[in-house]
Amino acid sequence: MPSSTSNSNPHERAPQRRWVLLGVSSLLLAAILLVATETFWRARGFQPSFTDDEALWSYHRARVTAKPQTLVILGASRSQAGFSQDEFRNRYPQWDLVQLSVSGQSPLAALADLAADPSFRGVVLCSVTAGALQQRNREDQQPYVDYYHQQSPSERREIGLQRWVKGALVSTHPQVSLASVSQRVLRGDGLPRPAVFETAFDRSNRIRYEDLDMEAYRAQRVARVEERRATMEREGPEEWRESVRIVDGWVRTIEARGGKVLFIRYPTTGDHWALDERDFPRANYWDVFATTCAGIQLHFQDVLALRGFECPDTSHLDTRDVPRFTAALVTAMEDRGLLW
Amino acid sequence: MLFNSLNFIVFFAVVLAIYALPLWWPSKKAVLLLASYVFYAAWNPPFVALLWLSTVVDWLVARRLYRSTHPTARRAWLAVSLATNLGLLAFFKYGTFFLENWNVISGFYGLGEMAFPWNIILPVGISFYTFQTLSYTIDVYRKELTPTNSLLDFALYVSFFPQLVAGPIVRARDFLPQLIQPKAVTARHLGWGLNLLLLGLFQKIVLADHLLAPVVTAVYDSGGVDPNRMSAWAATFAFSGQIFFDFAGYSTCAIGIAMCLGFALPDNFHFPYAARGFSDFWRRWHISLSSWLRDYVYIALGGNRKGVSRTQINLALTMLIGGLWHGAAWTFVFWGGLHGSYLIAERWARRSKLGQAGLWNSGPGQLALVLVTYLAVCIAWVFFRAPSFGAAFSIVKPLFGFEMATAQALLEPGQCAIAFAVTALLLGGHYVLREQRLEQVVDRIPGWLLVIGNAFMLASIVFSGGEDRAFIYFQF
Repeated sequence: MPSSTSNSNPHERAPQRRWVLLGVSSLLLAAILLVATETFWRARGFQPSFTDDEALWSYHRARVTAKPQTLVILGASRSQAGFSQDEFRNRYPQWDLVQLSVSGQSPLAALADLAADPSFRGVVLCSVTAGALQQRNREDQQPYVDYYHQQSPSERREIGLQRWVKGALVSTHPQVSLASVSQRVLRGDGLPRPAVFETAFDRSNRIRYEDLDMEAYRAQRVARVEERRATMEREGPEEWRESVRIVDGWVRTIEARGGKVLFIRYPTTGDHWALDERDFPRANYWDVFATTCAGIQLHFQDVLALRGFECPDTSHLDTRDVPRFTAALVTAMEDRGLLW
Repeated sequence: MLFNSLNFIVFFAVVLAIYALPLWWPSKKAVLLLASYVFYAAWNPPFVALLWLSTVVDWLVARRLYRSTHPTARRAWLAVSLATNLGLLAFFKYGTFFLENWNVISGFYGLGEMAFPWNIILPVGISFYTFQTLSYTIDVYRKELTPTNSLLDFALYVSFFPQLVAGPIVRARDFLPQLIQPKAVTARHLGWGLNLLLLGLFQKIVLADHLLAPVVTAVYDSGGVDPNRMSAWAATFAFSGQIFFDFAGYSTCAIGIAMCLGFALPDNFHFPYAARGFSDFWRRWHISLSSWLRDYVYIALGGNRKGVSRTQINLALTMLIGGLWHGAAWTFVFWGGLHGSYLIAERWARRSKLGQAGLWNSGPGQLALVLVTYLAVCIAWVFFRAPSFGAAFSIVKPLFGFEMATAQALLEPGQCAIAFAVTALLLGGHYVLREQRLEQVVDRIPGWLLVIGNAFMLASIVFSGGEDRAFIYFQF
């Protein structure tokens, strides 16, 4: 005999309480807790920021339309932290600007995806180095591309809504979450400090050098690059040229639809630049890339206005210099007929 | 659409606002039906067609069944419903599984492999709504239910968004009568419903996803690295908590949302980790599924009416089917088989001299029964959660003291502490509240304590700021 598992009279199942009073009091107390926590974390230097993940990337990828006046920024952390969206918007308010750089990853998969998108007719500003052009790095951003193609409209709307909550509250950031803080405290690491890289909803990064011992941070970064290069199996020149040929094909596909691609070599300085030159000498790599690949190639050393910027950590521009660098870069793009 | 999403908050606010308008009752039901389809389509719009198919077929079949007097015709109509619903399940949920196993067998005999022509996507909630519509047709076939003449009411019964994608599996006899009388949004229903929704979201977002899921993932998805004893126990306890808070959290949300709209859904969990024995566990865990399996599989097989051996076979078969219902993988079947063997062993133990001893009625005896049941359930959870048998055994071995030489501590001490602390609180809470109902507990709590509890849960949800994980049971 089938059995019912509970009483199906909703009235009998709902306790009789003063629900309005209870609800309002609960909300008030929760608001007090929230304000206290917000005040605490903000006093420690935290600002609202977003988790830079595949979902946020895909939300912005979906903003790339068929509009020719669309600038898509590809690259890694240098272009994510080194391009001022405000500066660009002030000069080109009618343009759509989409930041698709991913920290620490080669942009080749994202470029291939734009080439494969028959509706894309905009301008790509692609930050690359000779190392990022290696075939081994071609799949770096593929998980982001795959996520975008599988993301449902509902998930995209969710990201759009989260903008208003996460953009307003520090307390929603994973770095100060219950589990994260309690585990740090249990480990004896104390309370967290703000991260060096902070991501805004538009996916631009702000680098906080304020609280760092820059000497130690610089040395640590360079040591990490050196270690990675030492353990990395470098591709031979022929393999590398083959990769450039493939990139050339993507650029030609975009150009055939009326789009444009500009490759930019962002500044690195000091020991980092020395390492770059040791492992990927400009004459053997960048110059070959510039002469064999379609699109426009711009090396920071070749444009007077882009030279002379000092990278505090040897790899990324100083946040205070970013608007000036962006202005110079936008002017260079105008000079080459990429913006109108 | 996930309950734990801002999309849902906006969606529910809009639905509630329209529902509260002074509309004609059939119009309100139409609003709920439309909202349910929007809710389902938010995930993958074309799959709403499957809901329509299941709805229309079972509505028509039940009416024909009811009118038919000839046993052969009645059996034929029932077969149409079974073929449609089980056919949908077989294709979408088990198609790839069947083919993979077929290929293993045909490979063994040197026959060629078959490739599946489609990349099948599992429609969310298909196991839930097909079981729900099947119960309706079977009840009509058994002459225990009069079919409804209203397609609108039946469609709403199948698609009612609070419980559409992960249950509770509602019986028509409980739900359809609720559609007759007009409902209004009242402060009492809304207050209690929102409290339940908050409790469910707290269970899901804070306890399951934020505190426990990372502990479980670090060990169960370690990519072949063997865990040491501490990591294996911590992760297994953590999973027992994660699966409970995830699924019970969903059910609590569903019951709360339905309550806001003036509907009562059946309870799906009743402090299951305080169960004294496995039959008690299944009266407390996923109650709507276990009662479905009992009524439509176990009893249909003969139940306990055909002797001891046949009862044991029926129990085992029912639990194997229950395992397969959860997922198209042999690990789920094994999990079901393990529970089947627990139930058989329990029946045997109850009849033995030891089982009849008065010791089990004493306090310590009852506590021992609860702990033994919980530990055995945890061992079974390993096979439920592990991605393969190899991974499952690499976790089970250290649970029994057989630590591999290559075993590693996959968890930080802080993670272990969180896992053990949450598990202790969960077990303690279930033990204390074993004979209670949540409504009774809330009735007794002083108002100020309820306010503190609600504010704590609300704030914790904000402070959990992690990823948005789907409910585990969506994949079933």
